[in-house]
Amino acid sequence: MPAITLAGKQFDVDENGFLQDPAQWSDEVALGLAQTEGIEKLTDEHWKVVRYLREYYMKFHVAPSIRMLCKQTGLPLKQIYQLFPSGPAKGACKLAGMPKPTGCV
Amino acid sequence: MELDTIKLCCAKCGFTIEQYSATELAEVPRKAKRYKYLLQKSSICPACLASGRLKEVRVTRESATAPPGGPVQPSAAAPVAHERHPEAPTPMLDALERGRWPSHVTELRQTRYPLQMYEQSLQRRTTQWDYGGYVSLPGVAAGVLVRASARPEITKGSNFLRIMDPCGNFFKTDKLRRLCEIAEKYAYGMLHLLSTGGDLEMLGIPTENLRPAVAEIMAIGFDVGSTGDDYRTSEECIGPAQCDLALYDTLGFREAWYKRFLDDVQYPRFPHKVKCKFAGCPNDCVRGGQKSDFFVCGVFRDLPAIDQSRVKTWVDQGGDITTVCTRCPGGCLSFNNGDGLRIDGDSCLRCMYCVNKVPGVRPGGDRGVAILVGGKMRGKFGPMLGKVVVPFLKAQPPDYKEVFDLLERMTEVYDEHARKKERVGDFLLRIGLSEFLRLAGVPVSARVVSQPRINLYYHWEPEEIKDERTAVQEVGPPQAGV
Repeated sequence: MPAITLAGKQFDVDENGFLQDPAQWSDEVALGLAQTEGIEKLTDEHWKVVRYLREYYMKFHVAPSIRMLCKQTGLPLKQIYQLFPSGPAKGACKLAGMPKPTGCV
Repeated sequence: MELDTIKLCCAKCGFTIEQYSATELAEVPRKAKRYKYLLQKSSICPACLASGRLKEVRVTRESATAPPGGPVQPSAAAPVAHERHPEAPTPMLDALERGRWPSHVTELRQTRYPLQMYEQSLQRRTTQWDYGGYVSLPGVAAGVLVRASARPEITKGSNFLRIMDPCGNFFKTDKLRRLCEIAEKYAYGMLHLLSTGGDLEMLGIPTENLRPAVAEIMAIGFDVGSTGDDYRTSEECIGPAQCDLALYDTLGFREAWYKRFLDDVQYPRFPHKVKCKFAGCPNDCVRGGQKSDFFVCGVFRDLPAIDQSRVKTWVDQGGDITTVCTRCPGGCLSFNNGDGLRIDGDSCLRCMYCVNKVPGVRPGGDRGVAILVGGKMRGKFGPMLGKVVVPFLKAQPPDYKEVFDLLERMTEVYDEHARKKERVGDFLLRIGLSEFLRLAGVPVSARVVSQPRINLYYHWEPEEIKDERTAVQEVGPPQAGV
């Protein structure tokens, strides 16, 4: 099991760098994960997406569809790709501390 | 020296991602499977973020600090060399090279394609390629396709790029030559021209080479994409560029389609892939009715226009008009020397049979497009034919607003209501055509029902049909239907 050190703490991650235990997530962890994703600074829009994903995941234990994400955050899909270069599934979900969503994106 | 531990490390920084003991691998099938899987897929290193295949490091008991035995990847710089494929005799492929026709094996032999994969497929009577996936590449939202290999000892897998072809698949030779150079430099050294989806595929690009390859392709003026749950590259018939039957400008239509929907081609957002095909006439050379989720087909609404003198000349020269009349699917053709060729307007299906067979019969003048939804070959409920949703719509260049608005409405309905990984055809079957029409805001008419009368054009009123050609030839008067 690989591990990663963020904000002075050790976390278990899978081979793609997703947190194994979503309960360990905190704002500092998100900041640390952003560094690994190559995002330098988290803007309000980043937080909006991450918080929405987090909220949805804690409620339904599954990642929302891309359409839901765009609709609820009010951001167009293109902008989400600009905010998270590796895409909403791989990038944004990693920051939100969720396991890697299934599917192709 | 006894083998003790096998570590899977990042190829760049050497970060250990997983490790197994040799006994574990031999005894626990689950671990062996996981190990095999990790070896053949590309992973992102959590320490240095380099993405690529993992390096295998074998640690022996005697020398715990022995140099890694796995293949050493050269660092960055120029194109990364391809993995070496093992050489072995190829009896099955040799058989395919005999004969006086061009052999695909001869072509493949000259490239870096792992020929043993093909040979083994033939010997074992099943393909040796495995289910693939996507490698994410920043800047290419749709990702890059990867075909995994079930035989990692031959090849670890193969990434391939889809290059969006220009409308009509017209390539200027020098641009194609530059694409060939890129394929020679970064890929297997061959192009797949063209895939069944109508786009150009560049096979076998190592993950490290993807970024420079995409950059060079973009520099020529092509674009990559068309993978994942988005609009796939559309396919259109050659249309007015070369064909005498095109009922609307398929090439211009697709150009306008790209202009409007390019974001949906590049950024996946739909529940499943969506394919669009554009055919110029009901002959449907692009097989859109069977293969595409949204099929735009050129149609005419009035009757075929007949040039009686040309028909007569053809008959006098020995044209078999009797067979044509008896084989007419609607049974509406009749011919006698006095009246010439007559068409019974009530029964005509506008199927193009007489247009294809008899010189002098041309499609009618009231032209537009029909939109069919839900054709597919795979998916939950198996192969389906497209259903007619709109039997006739005027296609107005340059922006084809009416048609595209309708397409957009229908994709929005699909996006909003379909389940994950549900093709349009399955979605249509689940909710029903009437519900789909209500959601998409298409008025229900007698011409659109889930089990249509065989002749969709029966209900057109004569006043609904008008010949809009600017220069109408001197032909017999078009007979209005009904």
